[in-house]
Amino acid sequence: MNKTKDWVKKIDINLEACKSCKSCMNACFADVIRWDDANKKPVVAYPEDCVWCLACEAACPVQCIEVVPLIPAPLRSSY
Amino acid sequence: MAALQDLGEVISTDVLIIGGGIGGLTAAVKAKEENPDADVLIVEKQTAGWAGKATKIGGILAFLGPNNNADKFMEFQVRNSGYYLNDQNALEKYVNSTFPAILDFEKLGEKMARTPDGKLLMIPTFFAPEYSSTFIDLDLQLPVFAKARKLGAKFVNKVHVGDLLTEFNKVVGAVGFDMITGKFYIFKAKSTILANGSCGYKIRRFWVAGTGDGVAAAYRVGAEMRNAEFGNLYGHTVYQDTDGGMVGHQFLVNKLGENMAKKYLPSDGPTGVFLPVPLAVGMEKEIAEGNGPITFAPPPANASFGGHGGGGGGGGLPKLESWSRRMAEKDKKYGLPPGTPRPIAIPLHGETSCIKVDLEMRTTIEGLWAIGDTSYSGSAVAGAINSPPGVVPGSGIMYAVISAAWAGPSAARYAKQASAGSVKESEVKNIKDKVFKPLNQSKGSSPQELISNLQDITAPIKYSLRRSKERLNEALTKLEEIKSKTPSLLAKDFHYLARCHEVESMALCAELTMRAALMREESRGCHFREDYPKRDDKNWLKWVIIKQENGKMKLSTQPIPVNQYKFKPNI
Repeated sequence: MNKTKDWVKKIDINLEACKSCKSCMNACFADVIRWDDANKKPVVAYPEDCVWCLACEAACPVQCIEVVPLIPAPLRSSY
Repeated sequence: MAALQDLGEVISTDVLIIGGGIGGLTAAVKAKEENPDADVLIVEKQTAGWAGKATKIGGILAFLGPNNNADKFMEFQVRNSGYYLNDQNALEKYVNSTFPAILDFEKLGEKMARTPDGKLLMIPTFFAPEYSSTFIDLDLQLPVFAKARKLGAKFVNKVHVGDLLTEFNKVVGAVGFDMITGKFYIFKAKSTILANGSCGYKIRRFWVAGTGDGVAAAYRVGAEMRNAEFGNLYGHTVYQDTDGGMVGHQFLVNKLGENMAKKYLPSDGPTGVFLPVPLAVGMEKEIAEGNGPITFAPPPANASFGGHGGGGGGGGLPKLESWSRRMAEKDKKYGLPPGTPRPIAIPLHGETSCIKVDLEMRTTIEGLWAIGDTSYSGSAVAGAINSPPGVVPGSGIMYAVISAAWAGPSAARYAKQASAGSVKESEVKNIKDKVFKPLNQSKGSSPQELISNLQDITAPIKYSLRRSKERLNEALTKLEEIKSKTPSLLAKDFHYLARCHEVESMALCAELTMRAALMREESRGCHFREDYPKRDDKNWLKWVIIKQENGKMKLSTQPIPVNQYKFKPNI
């Protein structure tokens, strides 16, 4: 089956350092990060939609989120 | 029949704006400034203020300075970029709106690039006469968001809107669902502004938000489309391994060491920064003949022409600089080892944006406006190329805010005199059943599978640039296969439900592009037909118009009133 491929290997959030400010979730333009109401922490819900725009990293006030890109990227060839 | 409120939460507003990126936010501000009493609601699929494409990569703003000559710039654009397919009245209005838009940004307190003595940085655009560029920081949406909120605009986030509601051929609102909870919303509105972007088929990293939902929704309620064949381009030369680090096309070489620009461009005259059509087609040929990969090989003195990482510099703007640094760090830490050859890609840059609009951004359907990347090519500001107005980078954000400044007041004035339309429960019920259907299927295709299939027919140069009747029909046959599978799309949850509807929007955008391209039997601007390689001013000073009639896609042509315009071709 054909399937689009992922752009990132993983997204790590250090939940102990996390201040529960929701900035990473709000900054995401691809609905990758959701909110875990029970633990009051962000959760990486849809990593397959991450394109490492790094808006979450830039928004995090304590730098507790790290996106690890997949390189080479699965960029569709034009040829 | 169920009452409307039993079908979902009903929210009434005067002005409904679908999309909370830079265009939607600006439209909200302008609508409130026109009529402070108007209720203005922004519905955004992600989070307003952060959404869309404007906060990605870098904010280049291209404009006509206060002491520059609009006619000279327009003449260049019409003759060398839009190739007479511009609505020259719209282009003139646009060009004259560019500097006021810069001043608007300044008034908002946006971070703009400055000279050492504090003046606005204005870099002359060397290949486009009279034009200049400057930079705005990546968080440019936040001051506009703050102002919209201060003026009383309301926001609903995380709601995917796929369909508009109509009454007697007039748009009276829209429906959507919450991507987290699945809650269904019915928005009743006197004026509706589409501000939710173009369609990029999820091929390029920073453009994945553009899935053509607004274009598709407008088409389905009968709005006319224009210039759909010019929506896409192969404009950027980037590293295949990151889709980043846009490099200069003058230093691309094949495996044999031949310079691609010297081989495929007839002269070394000004071409703009975007890749010219003959060069893209030439590179495709090199790869087919086994002369790949194409790599970037600048002479040592010009090494700075291509960034290694994701972005360019920063122009002294803090967010842009830290983002560039972050991208470079990722590349260094996780990228290919130093010294590894990095093939250059020319990915499809999809900007299907064909909703036809007038000089107030009104679509051909009453009560509906379309701004920013929903009507990029449909406005005909740009003509036969996708980026308004033409070969100059820095038009995306500018077109978004300028079209918003035209649409916001127009929609607010209309809402003031219009009475609220009535929304039919039966129409809402039908749409709601269709919207949630992918959650209730037992077997079918996943959205990821169909997105991949769709990319198979949109990404290749042979379908989207080096066009011919035969290949376009081949792509359309494959597209019909994809469309036959969309009724059985499967969604695991509400996130994937949105993806399912994005697939339908993207498939429709691809069809609009391909059918318009099939009809235009000539080559012009970004549209190249191998079977009709010459520009044909005798027969094709026309716009291709598409609209839905009785459930069918109907194509026609509209002659361009070029005799009424300032700049005419020599026929």
